[in-house]
Amino acid sequence: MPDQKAILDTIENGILVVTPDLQIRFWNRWLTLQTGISKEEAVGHFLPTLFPGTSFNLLKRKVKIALKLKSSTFTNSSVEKFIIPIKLHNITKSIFHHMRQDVVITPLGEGEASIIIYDTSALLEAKAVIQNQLLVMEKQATTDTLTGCYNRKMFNDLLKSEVKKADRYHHIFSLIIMDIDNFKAVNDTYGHLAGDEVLKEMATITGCTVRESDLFARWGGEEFSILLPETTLEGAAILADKIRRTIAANDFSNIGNLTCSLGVAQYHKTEHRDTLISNADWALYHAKNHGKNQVAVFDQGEIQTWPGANGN
Amino acid sequence: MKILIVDDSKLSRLTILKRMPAAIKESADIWQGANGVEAIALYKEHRPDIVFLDLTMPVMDGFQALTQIRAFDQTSRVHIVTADIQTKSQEKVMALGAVAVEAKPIDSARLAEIFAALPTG
Amino acid sequence: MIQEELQEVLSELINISFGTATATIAELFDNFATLHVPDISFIAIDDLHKFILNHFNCQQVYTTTQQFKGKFQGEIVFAMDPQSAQNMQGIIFSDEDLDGAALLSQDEIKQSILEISNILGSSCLGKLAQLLNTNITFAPPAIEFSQTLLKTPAEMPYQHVIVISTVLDFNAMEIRGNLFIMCTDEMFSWLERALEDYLETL
Repeated sequence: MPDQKAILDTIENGILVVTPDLQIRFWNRWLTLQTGISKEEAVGHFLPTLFPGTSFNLLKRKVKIALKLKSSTFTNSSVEKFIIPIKLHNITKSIFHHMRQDVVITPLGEGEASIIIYDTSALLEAKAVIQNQLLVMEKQATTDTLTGCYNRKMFNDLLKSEVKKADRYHHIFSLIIMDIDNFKAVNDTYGHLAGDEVLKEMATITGCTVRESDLFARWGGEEFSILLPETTLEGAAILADKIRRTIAANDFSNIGNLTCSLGVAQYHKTEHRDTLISNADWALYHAKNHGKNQVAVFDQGEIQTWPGANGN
Repeated sequence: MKILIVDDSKLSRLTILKRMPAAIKESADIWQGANGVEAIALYKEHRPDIVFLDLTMPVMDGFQALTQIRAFDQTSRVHIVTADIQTKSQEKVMALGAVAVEAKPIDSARLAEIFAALPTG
Repeated sequence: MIQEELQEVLSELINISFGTATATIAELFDNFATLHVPDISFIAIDDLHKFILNHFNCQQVYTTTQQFKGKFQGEIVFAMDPQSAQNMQGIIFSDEDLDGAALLSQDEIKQSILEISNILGSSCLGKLAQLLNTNITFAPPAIEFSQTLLKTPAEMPYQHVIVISTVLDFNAMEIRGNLFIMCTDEMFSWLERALEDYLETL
C-alpha cells in the first residue's frame, strides 16, 4: 500500500486540511511550490497568520457551513477570485495578478475540513480574451473606422427603430444629411490623406455640436447624417445651421476654410424611411444648387433655403 | 391515558402514532387535530394527559395554541414537535410553558422516554 | 403510490429538511427566521418554462445549477428574483464590517446567492436523502444572471421536476426562492419506492 500522503503530493491541485478556526493540519507539495511556504511552516499554524492582509472570513464561513451541513461547500472563481493569494509570475504574461481558484471545502468528520484548490486562471483568461474580442467586434460592427462615429449599417438600424417608435408612440424626429462642399478639390489638391484628416476634423466638430441625444453617423464618402429624436423640422434646421456656421468658421489644418451644405426633413407618421432619406437628400441637392454653404429644408413637399436665401 | 396529536401533516401525526410504545397505543384514547383552533377545542373537551403539538400550521399556529392551552390549564403537558430547530424558537416555546421541544422526525426511543417520564396515576 | 400521497410524504420530509436549512442560515447570520412550510409540487419538464414565466414576472433571474450524484441523482436549479437577492444582502452581510450604504457588486450578490443555494440544496436534498437512508454528493455549483433561465426541455436529460417554493422570513424581510429538483423517470421511480418504504417502515 503506497503512502497516501505521498500521493497527495503528486497532485497538481492544492490540498490542505483545516480546523474551523483555520489552523492548518495538512499542506500538500503543490501549495509549497506555489506559495513558498513549506509543510513545516504551514502545519500547526493559522492560515491568516501566513497571509497577513488577506481576509479569510468567507473561507471560515464556508468551513463552518460544510461542517454544519456535513456536506461540501464551494467558492467559484468567476465570482470570488481566489481563496489563497498566489501571485502569478510575469513570464506567463497572465492578465491576472493572482491565480484564480475554484475551491471545494469538504467536511472530514468532526472539526476538520479538507480544502481542494483548482487553478482556473488559464480558463478564465481565455474567457476574458474572448469577451474582449467580442466587445471589439461589436464596436467595429457599429463604428466608422476613420471618423469614429456610427457607420452606415448602425445608422440604418437606429433609423429603423426610430421609425418604429415614431409610429407606435407618436414620437417625432428629424433627419439632417450633410455634405462637404468641393471635397473633391481638397482630395485633388492636397491628396487623400489630407482629405481623410478633413473628414476626421469635420466629424469631431459636428460630433461636438450635436446634442447628446442626437445620433451622428458617416453615411459614406464625404456625407454625414444626423438623426434627431424628439425634434421638429424647425429645431433640426436651427441645429443644421449651427453646424454650418461652426464649420465655416473653422480653420482646417493646412487647408484653411471649408464649407458644407445640409438638407433637413422631418419624419411623418407611417411614411417609409426611404422617403425621409430621399426628402432630406432633395433638400441637400437644393442647397448645393443654390450656392452651397447653406441649409435647405423639405417642408410639406416644398424645398426652401433656411432661414432665407443665401443664409450667411 | 389520553393523548392529543396536532399537526397539519398527516404523515407527521402518523409518525408519532406508529412510533409510540405499542402498549400505550393500545390502551390510550388518542385524538388528532390539524391546526391550533382544533388543538384548543380538543384540549378543552378531553383534557389529555399529554399533547404533541406542531408549530407551523394553518388557521392558528402552535405558538398561539400553546399559549391558550397554558392559559386554560397550567398543568398541561405539551411537547412541541417541530422542524424549526432554531435555538430562539426553542427558547420561545419553553418560555411559553412547553415541557420539551422535539425535533422532527421524532423517533421511538425518544417517545418511549417521554411516556416513561409521565407522572403515573 | 398515488401522486397525492407521495406529495404529502415528500412535503413533510422536505419541511423537516427545510427547517434544518433555515436554522443553519439563521444561525450563520446571527438572525432569526419565522419558519414557513415550503410549497411542493410536481411538474413535467415540458411545463417548467411556463411555471417559471408565471412565477417570475421580472426580466432577469439569478439561477444556480448543481448536479448531485448517488443512488438518487439529478440536478438542482435554484432561482431567485433580484428583489429577494437584494433583501438577502442585508441579512448575509449584517454581521460584517460593511458600510450599510455601500452597494454590493454583482459578484458579491452572486457570492451570497451561491451560499444560500448551497445551504438550501445540501440541507433540503442532503437531509431528504438521509431520511431515505442514502447519501448524495454535490458537484460545484454554477451561477448565472440572465433572461433565459434554462435550456429547452429537449436539451435536458430529465423528465420530472419537483418544485420546492421556499420563503426565508427574517423579520418580514423575505427571501423567496424556488428550488427545482430535476430527475429522470428512473430516478423518480426510485424516489417513489423510497418514499413508500419510508411510509411502510415508519
